[in-house]
Amino acid sequence: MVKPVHVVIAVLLLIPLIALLDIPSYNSVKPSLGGISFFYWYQLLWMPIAAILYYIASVLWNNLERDEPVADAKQRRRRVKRK
Amino acid sequence: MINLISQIVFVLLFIIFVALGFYGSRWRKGDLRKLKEWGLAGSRLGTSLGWFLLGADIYTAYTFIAVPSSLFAKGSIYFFAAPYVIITYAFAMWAMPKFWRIANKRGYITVADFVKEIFNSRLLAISVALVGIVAELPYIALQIVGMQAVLIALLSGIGATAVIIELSLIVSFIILAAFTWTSGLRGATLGAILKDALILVSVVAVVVAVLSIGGFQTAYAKASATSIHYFQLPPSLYNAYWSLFVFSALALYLYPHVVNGSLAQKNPKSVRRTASLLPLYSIGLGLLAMFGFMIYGVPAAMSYVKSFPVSVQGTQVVPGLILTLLPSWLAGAALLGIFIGGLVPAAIMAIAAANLFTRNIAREIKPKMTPSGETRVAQVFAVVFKFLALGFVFIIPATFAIQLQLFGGILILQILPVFVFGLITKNLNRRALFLGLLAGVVSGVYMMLAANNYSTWLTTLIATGFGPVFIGMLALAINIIIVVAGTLIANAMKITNNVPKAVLNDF
Repeated sequence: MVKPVHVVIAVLLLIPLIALLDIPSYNSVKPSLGGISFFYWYQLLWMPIAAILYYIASVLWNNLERDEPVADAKQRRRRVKRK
Repeated sequence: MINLISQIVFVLLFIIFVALGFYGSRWRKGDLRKLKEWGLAGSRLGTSLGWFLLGADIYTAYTFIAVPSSLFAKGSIYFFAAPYVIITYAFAMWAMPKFWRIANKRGYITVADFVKEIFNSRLLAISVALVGIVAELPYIALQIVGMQAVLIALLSGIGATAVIIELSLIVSFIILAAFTWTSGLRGATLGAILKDALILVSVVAVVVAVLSIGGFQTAYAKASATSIHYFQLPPSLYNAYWSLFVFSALALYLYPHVVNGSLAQKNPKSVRRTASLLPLYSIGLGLLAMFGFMIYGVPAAMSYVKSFPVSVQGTQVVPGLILTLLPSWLAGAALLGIFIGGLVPAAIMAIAAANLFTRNIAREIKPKMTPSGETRVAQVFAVVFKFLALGFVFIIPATFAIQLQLFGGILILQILPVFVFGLITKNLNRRALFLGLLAGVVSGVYMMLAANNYSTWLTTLIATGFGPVFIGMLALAINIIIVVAGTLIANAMKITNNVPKAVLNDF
């Protein structure tokens, strides 16, 4: 079953890919920043942006999986073992 | 330039690093005679340590030496590494937690373990292991080139350049072999933290120094006057650019050492969280890549680089900027960071290749090995593989070392159908998968040789009607077509993989 949250996760993961695949949109020298051409600083800028988007996606995704009975049982068993 | 202070700082920090490595073998003590302890750090790493370990796996001499070198030699096309180390983590966030769970449930520690059961095929498992091992070799070779580059810088001015280049290679290799033998994955993780700190500080220091002398404007003016496209991409290379970054991104998490790094974490959620934050690490890669044109803004660094033969010039870009712009003590520390940045990943890769060999090849030949016997086989082969890797060092001029990693990528991409499709469906025919893998590897190697006119390897792009594209993409396409067609034929003939029911029920 596809829930709205699945769509949100997929979109968050795909945004950086789509932006970076659109090479003509950033393949220019201007506007340059401190002498660095747009081509470089634009792609650098996507690194922190992607980290934020991906992190949100990972939180949403990990929350979904808390409900999985298998994973839960496994973790409980492990916790017991460690004690 | 290089002076006694830099050299002393380098040596002192190296001693600290080695001490950390030995401490690592005692840290969170496990029985190092067991393969899982030596090779997977006992699967106990949390998000933060996992982040550092994966960082060490991924940000290597590739980042510190090879990318800046190729950008310097060939221009903006090699900035593909920046989008590559962004989008690869989206793929990892999906694939790795999934694989972690399956691996944990069924006791797998390699991709080949998984392939053997899910497709009920020893042949396929052994092939996947072999491809994994061979793909690691050029990647290890790249690390050796990186270590060599640092030693060249450290010893520059002491004697004849040619002698220094050779000597640096031999010393790098000996240090690598000794290091892997003694400490396994744990020691490597601790070393990785030291390395990251040193490099972060020096990258920022170099960028600030270049900014303060207005180096970017000078670099722009001077580099624009050359025939190389430094500041934007010629439209004829669009297809090369995206095929390089998309298929490098898909390849990364197929490498045995990266799979190992993921399995070494304590649970699948921390695997995903770690991956989601790794694009932050990429900022360092992006800045380092830009050193490739920044050097035009620093004449002293440029004349240092030009004092070497063309075949190693590119590898001296980052050391050159460090030596000319930073105070001696910091330069020594930075060079050590880069040196470890080759050493630690090379060790991790050799360990991963050795793990694979022991579990999925040696064990198939000799099923009854004691746990300590297994670890010994792995340790010995970790050294053997490093020797084989050395062979690749001689195929490619150091300046084009990035081609080593890209060639490894062409090979490792061929296990994508078995591994990634295997995570989604069990309904692929094992013979079709094997034939696809074989065709992918053979066509990939063939295209590589042909694209380079059967001589020195300078490119992994091949000319097509759509301009140059990454060979890895084409070889994978051939592979996938065969897998799909073969499976359709097998289904029509009602041939199955005969996977035991007990295994199927677990997926």
